[in-house]
Amino acid sequence: MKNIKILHITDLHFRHHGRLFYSTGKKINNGLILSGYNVLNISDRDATNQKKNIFDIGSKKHLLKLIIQNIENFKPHLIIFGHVDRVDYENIVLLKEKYPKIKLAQWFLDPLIKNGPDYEKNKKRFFLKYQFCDANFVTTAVDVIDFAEKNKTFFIPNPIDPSIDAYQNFLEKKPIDVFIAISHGQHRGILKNDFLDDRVKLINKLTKKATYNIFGVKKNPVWGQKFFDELNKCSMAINLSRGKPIKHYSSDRLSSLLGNGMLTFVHENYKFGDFFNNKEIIFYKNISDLNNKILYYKKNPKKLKEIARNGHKKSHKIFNNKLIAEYIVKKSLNIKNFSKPYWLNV
Amino acid sequence: MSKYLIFRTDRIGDFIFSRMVIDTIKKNDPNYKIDIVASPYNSKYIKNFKDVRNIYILNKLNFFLLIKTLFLVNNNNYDKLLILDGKRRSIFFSLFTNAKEKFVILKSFRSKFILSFFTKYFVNSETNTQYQNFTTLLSYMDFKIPKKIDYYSSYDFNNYYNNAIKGKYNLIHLDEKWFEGYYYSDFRYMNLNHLNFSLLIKTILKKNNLNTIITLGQFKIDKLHLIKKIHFNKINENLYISKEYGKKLIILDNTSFQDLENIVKKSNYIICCEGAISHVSNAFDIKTIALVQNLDFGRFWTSHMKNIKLIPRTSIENVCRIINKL
Repeated sequence: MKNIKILHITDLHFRHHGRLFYSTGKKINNGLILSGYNVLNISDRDATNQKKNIFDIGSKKHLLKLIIQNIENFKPHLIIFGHVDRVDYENIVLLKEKYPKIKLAQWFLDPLIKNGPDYEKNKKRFFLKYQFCDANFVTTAVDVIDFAEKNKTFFIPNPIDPSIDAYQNFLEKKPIDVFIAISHGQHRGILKNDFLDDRVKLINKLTKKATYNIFGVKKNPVWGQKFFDELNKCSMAINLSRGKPIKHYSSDRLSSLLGNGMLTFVHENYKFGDFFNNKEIIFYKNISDLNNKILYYKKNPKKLKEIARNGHKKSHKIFNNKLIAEYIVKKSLNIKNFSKPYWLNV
Repeated sequence: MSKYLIFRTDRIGDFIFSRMVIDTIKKNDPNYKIDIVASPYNSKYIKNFKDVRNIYILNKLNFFLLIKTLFLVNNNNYDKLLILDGKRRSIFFSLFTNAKEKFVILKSFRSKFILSFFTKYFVNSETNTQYQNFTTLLSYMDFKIPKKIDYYSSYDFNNYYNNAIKGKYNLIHLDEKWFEGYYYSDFRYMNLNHLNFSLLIKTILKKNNLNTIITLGQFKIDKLHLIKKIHFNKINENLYISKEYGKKLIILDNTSFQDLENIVKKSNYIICCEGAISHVSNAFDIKTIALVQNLDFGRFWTSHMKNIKLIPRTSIENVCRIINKL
């Protein structure tokens, strides 16, 4: 199929004025364009935010009208949905019945397993589109998701975009040892007062012999270029996601840590050992193992830089946004002849 | 262990298709208890499945029976209620039940108020296949879909025809869908008659030169009567032998659905209109030509079947031309 036209509906955060310029939606979008597809965007939450009406709660009707207008004018082959929760199930039915020839796909970044955080809520959001999507892409290993059918649900890693994840922290000595960023409420931008985050317990037990640049605990998270400026002050980073470790799941922050050349610590139960070896990323078993490893690499900067460099190189190769975008399109359109990404074989 | 109540108040073929739901439940929840709300028409057939514990008949014309059924259902405190037929009568009835979780697959009648009483609903949209719609519901319920569905697990087969028919044979099932005036008025019909019957038989025997059995549906159809009279010798009420082909081509009349299942199970090649028989043939993985209203509609019901070829119901001549090319 030549000249593939894609309508990518995802939050591009225009209303946040650049605060989330490194969002996964943007990275996938860049990957689609880099792959040579004709991409048209609807930033759903910006659209609903701009036009509020008491007779249209959540601006759902407005968004649907916008989508239909775009389809009519653009005639896409494929519609890719990000976390578009304002298009409800009935609207998806309507779109599929009105345009049966257009393929639908969704990508979904939040955890989807029973003992993970917000399970019921995330499952309901995922199922808004699941039935009518020709392909569904998740950032959790499909074999640990109870409800996903293997023939229409596929794993993708969080993408790294070389134009965004452009730092190489391993090249020089950094003033601070460890970078940690956790957040809840990306859209709000500040911490919720009453929210208890289980990751704080681990952070409180970290060795005091290292220096830290921590955001999201006591200090509000950092966003926009400030996020990269703070990350750039550190040589190491701990990737912390909410809930118990889930196979291959990570918050999208992992791509920022690895992608910007930091020595990255990940709990071994996330099974990232399927993609990286211990010369590319550091796996830890528990808090004492983590503390020992932080101190070891603090004392061995040469090894730190070497592993960070390897992790940076590998992650840019296998988690590349162009590769992931290409995979999303080919799977959705059932195009079989493409080179299989590395993470498909594990 | 969970108690399931499944609504399937329509035809036998629909129930056979829905066995994929029952088989999936059984394989995911080994301590299952499954009860069915059936129609008066399919309830007798469902009794043959030993994995179904209770069968309730939903007859909207009998108010006292409705109340009694509701009482019995509510006494069972079901954990999960699944409406697979999408019928209004099933939806209304289920509103008065005390099941903990209620799921429905439906096509029309999507009243927001009514559906607010359900845990989750899925639309039976023909843009997806019915198999996909069912797997979506089962996936939502956290069930893994088995690689192979056993449609006839715990079924009580009638063994009469197992001994009566031996060797390889073709099966042609001539039900009401072949003849105009006995099924939906807006459907297409091939109008098989005593004149084009010979062409059909010749085509099928050319394709697969085996003994051939013809079975019939439940309706008394004039054109079929004429075919029997002109092309066959009557041996008894149940058996007709071809005047032209002798015992190579016979009609077995007055067969029950259980008889038909046995005949299908032993056959090598089947030609039928898409419906209960093609669902049975799929369960036994038998090569089947299914005649369908149109290809999209046919695929809606048969997408999961591996051994099936679909032919649109146009004229008998056209159908024969396509069979020749297969």
